[in-house]
Amino acid sequence: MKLEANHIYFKYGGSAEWLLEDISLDIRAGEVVGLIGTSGRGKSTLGKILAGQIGGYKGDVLLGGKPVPKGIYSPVQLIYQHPELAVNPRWKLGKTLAEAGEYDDGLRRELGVKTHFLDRYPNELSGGELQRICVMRALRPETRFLIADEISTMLDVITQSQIWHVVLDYAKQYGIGILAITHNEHLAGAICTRKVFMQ
Amino acid sequence: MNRRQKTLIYASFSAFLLIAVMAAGSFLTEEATRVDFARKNLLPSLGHIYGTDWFGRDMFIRTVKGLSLSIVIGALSTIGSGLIALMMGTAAAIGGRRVDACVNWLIDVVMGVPMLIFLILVSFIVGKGPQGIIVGMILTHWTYLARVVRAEVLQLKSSQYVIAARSMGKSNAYIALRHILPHAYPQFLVGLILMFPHTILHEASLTFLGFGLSPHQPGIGVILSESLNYLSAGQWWTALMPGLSLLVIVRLFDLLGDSIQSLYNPYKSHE
Repeated sequence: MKLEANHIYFKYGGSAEWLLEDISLDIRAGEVVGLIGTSGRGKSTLGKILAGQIGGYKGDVLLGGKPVPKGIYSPVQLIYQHPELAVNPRWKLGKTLAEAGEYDDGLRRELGVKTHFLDRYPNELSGGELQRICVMRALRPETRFLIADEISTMLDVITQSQIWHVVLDYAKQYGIGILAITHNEHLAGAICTRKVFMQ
Repeated sequence: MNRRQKTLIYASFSAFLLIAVMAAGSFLTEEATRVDFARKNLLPSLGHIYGTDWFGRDMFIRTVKGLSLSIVIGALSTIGSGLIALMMGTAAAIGGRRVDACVNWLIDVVMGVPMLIFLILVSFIVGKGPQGIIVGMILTHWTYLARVVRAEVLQLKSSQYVIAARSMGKSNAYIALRHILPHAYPQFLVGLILMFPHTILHEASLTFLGFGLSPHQPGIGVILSESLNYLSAGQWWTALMPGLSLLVIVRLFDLLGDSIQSLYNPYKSHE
C-alpha cells in the first residue's frame, strides 16, 4: 500500500502566494520517510493535508489509489508536536485514550505509560508523559500510515529515543509507513530509510 | 481547606443570599410598607435599620422589595439575551463566512449605539414599565456574550483534540456533545451570571432617569430617584442605604460569577 500526494497546491486564505506549489510525495508501507526543511516551508501543512485535516487544496491525496476514507478511524494518523494541546484538558487521560478505542496493554507498558497516568488530568503530567499517550492512541491496528510532526522535538534525548524505538518497532511489525517531519537532520539520519528535503 | 472548597463556599453563600433577597421580596405584602406618619423621617436605628422615609415607610423593607423586583427583571432579561447570544454566537461560529460577517456586523451596530439611549428608545416603543425594560435589555445585552460563545466554539472547533477526535472517525454530534458543549457551557454560564449585575444597574439607572418602572412600583431606581429630592434636606439614609445594598447585590453576583469561573476553568479547576 502507498500513501501518495500528487501535485499538491495549497495556500492559506488571504495569502497571495502558494505555500505548497506542485508538491508530490509518496510513502510506501514499512518505509520511514524523513521530511526535512526549515521553518515556514509548509512541512506541517503538507502533513495535515496527507492526514486529511485540511481541505481546500489542489491535487489529490491517495491511499492505495483511492481517497483516504473519512468517518471511520482514519488509517492515516497524525501525531502533533505539542501533546498538551492534543488532549482534552477536561478529561482524565484514561478517557482520552479510551476515545480511540480499546488499547493493547503490552504497548502501554512498552511506551512507559503507567496506569496511574490514566487517572490524572493533562495538567498533572509532563509533556513527555502526554506525548507517550498521544503516540499510543495513534498506534492502532487500523493505522496504515503515521505522520509524526516534530513529535520528539521538545523531549529530552532519552525519552526521544525511547518513543522512537517503540514507534519504529511497531511500524515494522505492522508494516506501517511513517512520515517523520523534523528540523533535525541527525534524528532523520538515525531513523529514516529515505529523506525528502523541502527547501 | 483548599481553594476549591473555599470558592465553593463563596459561591453558595452568594447564591443563598441572592435567593433569600428574592424570596423575602416576594413574600412582603403592601401591608409591610404601610404609610405611617407617626414614624416618618427616622434615622437608622435598631427598630428600622435603614431608617424610614417621609411617609414613615420602613426603608429596609422597601429596599428588599426593590432589589427583589430588580433581580426578577434582571433574571428575565439575562435569560432572554443569553438565548439570543447562544444562537447568534453558534451561528457565527459554524454557519460559514457570510453568516459570521452578518452576525459580527449586527454586534457592532448594537454595541456602537450607547446602551442607555438604545434602552430609552426601546422602552418608549414597547411602553414604559417592566416589559419595556426587559425587552430593551434583551435586545442590547446579548452582544458581549455572543462574542464569547462565537470565540469559544471557533477555538474548540479548530483545537487539536477535536481534530484528533475527527480523525478517529467521531461524528459531529459526538464532538459537539462530548468536546464542545462541556467546554463552552461554563463560559456561557459565567457570562450569564456576570450579565446579571449589568442588567440590574441598567434597570436602576433607567428607572432613576424616569424611563423605566413607574413611581408606584417598588423598584430600587424609583427609591433612589425619590430619595434624591430629600437628600438636600439632610436625609442621607434614604439614598445611601438602598444604594449600598444595590452595590452589595451587584458585587455578590460578580463574586458568584468569578467563583464559578475558577471552578470550571480547565487549567485551574484541579488546583
